[in-house]
Amino acid sequence: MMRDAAIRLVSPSLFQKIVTGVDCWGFVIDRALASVLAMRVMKGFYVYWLTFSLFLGGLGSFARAGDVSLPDVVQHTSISIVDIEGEEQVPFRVGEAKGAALFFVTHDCPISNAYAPELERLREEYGIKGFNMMLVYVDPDVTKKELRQHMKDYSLSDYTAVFDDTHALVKETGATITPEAVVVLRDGSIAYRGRIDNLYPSLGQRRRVITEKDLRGALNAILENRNVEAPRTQAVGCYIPNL
Amino acid sequence: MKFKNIRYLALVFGIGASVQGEGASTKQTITFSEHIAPIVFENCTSCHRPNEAAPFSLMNYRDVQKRGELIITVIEDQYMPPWHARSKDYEFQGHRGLSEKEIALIGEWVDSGMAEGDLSKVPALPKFTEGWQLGVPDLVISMKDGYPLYAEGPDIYRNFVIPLDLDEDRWIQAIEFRPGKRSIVHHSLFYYDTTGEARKRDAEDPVPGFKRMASAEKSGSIGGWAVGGIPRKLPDGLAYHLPKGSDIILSTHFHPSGKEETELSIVGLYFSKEPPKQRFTGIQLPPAFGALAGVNIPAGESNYTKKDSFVLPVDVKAFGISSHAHYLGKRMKMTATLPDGELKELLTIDDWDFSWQEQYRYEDYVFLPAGTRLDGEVVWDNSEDNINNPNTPPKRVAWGRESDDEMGSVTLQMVAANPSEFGRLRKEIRNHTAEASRKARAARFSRGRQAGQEGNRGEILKRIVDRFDKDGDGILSTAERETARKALDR
Repeated sequence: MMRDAAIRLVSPSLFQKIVTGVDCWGFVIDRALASVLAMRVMKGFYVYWLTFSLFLGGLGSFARAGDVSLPDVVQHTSISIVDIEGEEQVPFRVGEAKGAALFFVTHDCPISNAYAPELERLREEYGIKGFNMMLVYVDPDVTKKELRQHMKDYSLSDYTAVFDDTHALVKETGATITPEAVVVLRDGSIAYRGRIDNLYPSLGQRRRVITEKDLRGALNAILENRNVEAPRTQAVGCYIPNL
Repeated sequence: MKFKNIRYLALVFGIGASVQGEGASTKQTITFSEHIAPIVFENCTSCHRPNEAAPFSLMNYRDVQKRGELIITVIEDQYMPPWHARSKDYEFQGHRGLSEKEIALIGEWVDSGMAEGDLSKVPALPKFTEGWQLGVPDLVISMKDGYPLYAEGPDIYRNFVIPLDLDEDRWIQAIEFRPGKRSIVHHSLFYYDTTGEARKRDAEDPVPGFKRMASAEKSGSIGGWAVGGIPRKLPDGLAYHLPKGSDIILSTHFHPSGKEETELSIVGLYFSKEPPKQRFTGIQLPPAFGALAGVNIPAGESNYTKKDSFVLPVDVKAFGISSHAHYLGKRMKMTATLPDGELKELLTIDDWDFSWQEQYRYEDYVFLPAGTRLDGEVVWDNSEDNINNPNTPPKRVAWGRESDDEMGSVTLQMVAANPSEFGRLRKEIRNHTAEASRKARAARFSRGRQAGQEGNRGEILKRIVDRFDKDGDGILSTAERETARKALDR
């Protein structure tokens, strides 16, 4: 048993859980102390955890760097990427918009696909309200032609979509799952990262009734200049494919 | 769960750096070619290949490497490979599952960076039979019109009628179901109908097919298919009876996929050349899908349980087992207590999922001597914690045919070990159902309804059931009821 435990010590799924745990602690503090000062404290807290996580990561020789800490701020807001139609996009340049909402998706993940109608509704509703809405396809093994067909099949053709075949946007935002939503504000801070809603409590389980609409809650909070109540949630779906 | 906690503790206390821990016992590097490919090809690829049920292929290094984290997560959670039946005493045909050792090996491979290894050592992909799995069917039928399914919304259950227009009785050894759109079809249960009732309902509904749940209303059940299921013939020339003039009904469960699709299922029927020499039957515990068990589940109740027992009057050989419940079903179990007191586990389903209504067959016959007691148990969860609960907040749910009502039973299929004793077996099963029916009525009187006449009425009903229950399942199907009605009208 212990030997098994040792062998399985550095499972990425376990790291995922630990990282999520870190985020959760972040929320608790975030909710309790919403002042600037508190935010500084929290950042310190993250640094502490980051160090600890890196230490833990060091125990396993092959832990993926991306798992150890997820960013709270986009470092390179001027990254540009050519979209499916061949036009250059700067996904994190928010400009006069309220924020940039990115949806990380894969063409062959059933949960990601099942969200297509909701993604289209979100684009219609929150695009008008001032968010830049974008699909980010992250499976490096497909062609842009296949992605255009996918968008047509799933009625997503009105989206701006980019093909992040180098995972540049994945790394900047800390997305790990498809589908996963990330909302970035003008200053590069990640105001929300996680699930769209709680339709899927886990892989293979689907609720009859959605009871938490986390992403909509976050977008509405930003529109109303309120704090996002749950800025980090666990997305459920398919892990973003490795490069 | 326990396993994971230990891992977590080990991690927190920094016990055992993995490299050291395993270095002592396993010197070699785990590679896809040598260690992982054989497991994946054997257990995953039959569905994870083009035009099969699974959403993506797992046929080479890149397919597996790019999804390493996803794969280790779903196999550790035992969500994949999908399998829901358990028995410590008997093997099921087509059992899907990985051993703890295999799961650990894949975990170790993912954690150690997923080495490819020597390409020449990759085993050949298994030879998969393309097209019909059991050869060319004796009869191929298809849905008349495509059924359009929306992109998003609740799961759909829909019944489709396929007229056969056979002018003589046939015996079905196997049915192969081929969904048109594998991304939306989750399972299908097969029935036949001799009454024309299903045709009528189909005609009344403007959209192809009709809505009502599959139930005792259909004349007879003839098996089913679920994602990943491989068609198999019944053992030893056993066959389902298909009366002439029957229509086939496919009772199909759909999952919307995010885009609109149209389903056109194709079905292959395999007939036996001559009538089977032996007949088989099933004992349902509790009988009639729980209709007589007084299923009435209070809102919030998370462990509502119904049990029923039956003592085998003759030696039997069991070959199949299945269970049924709707969204509130939680656990199912059937055990056999042999005459010497030994307890055998025939089927346990720990985490019932309405989406996975499979019919399980034992690898070998399960011999159960006369005097063996069969115990069936169904547990429902009508609390908020049941994510499949159709009601928020929960409300009281009673037995009924619609999918938001409840049903529940476990059914064991068997032959008499000595074919000459089949009649006795069937009669006892029938009596058991009649007895359940009598008790159900008695329970109703004790609640004070029309105390006087009902006892007598129960007796009459029991006699009617005895006389017209041709297939011996203890309930009157539509066809049997129709015969009874005609006979009684005369």
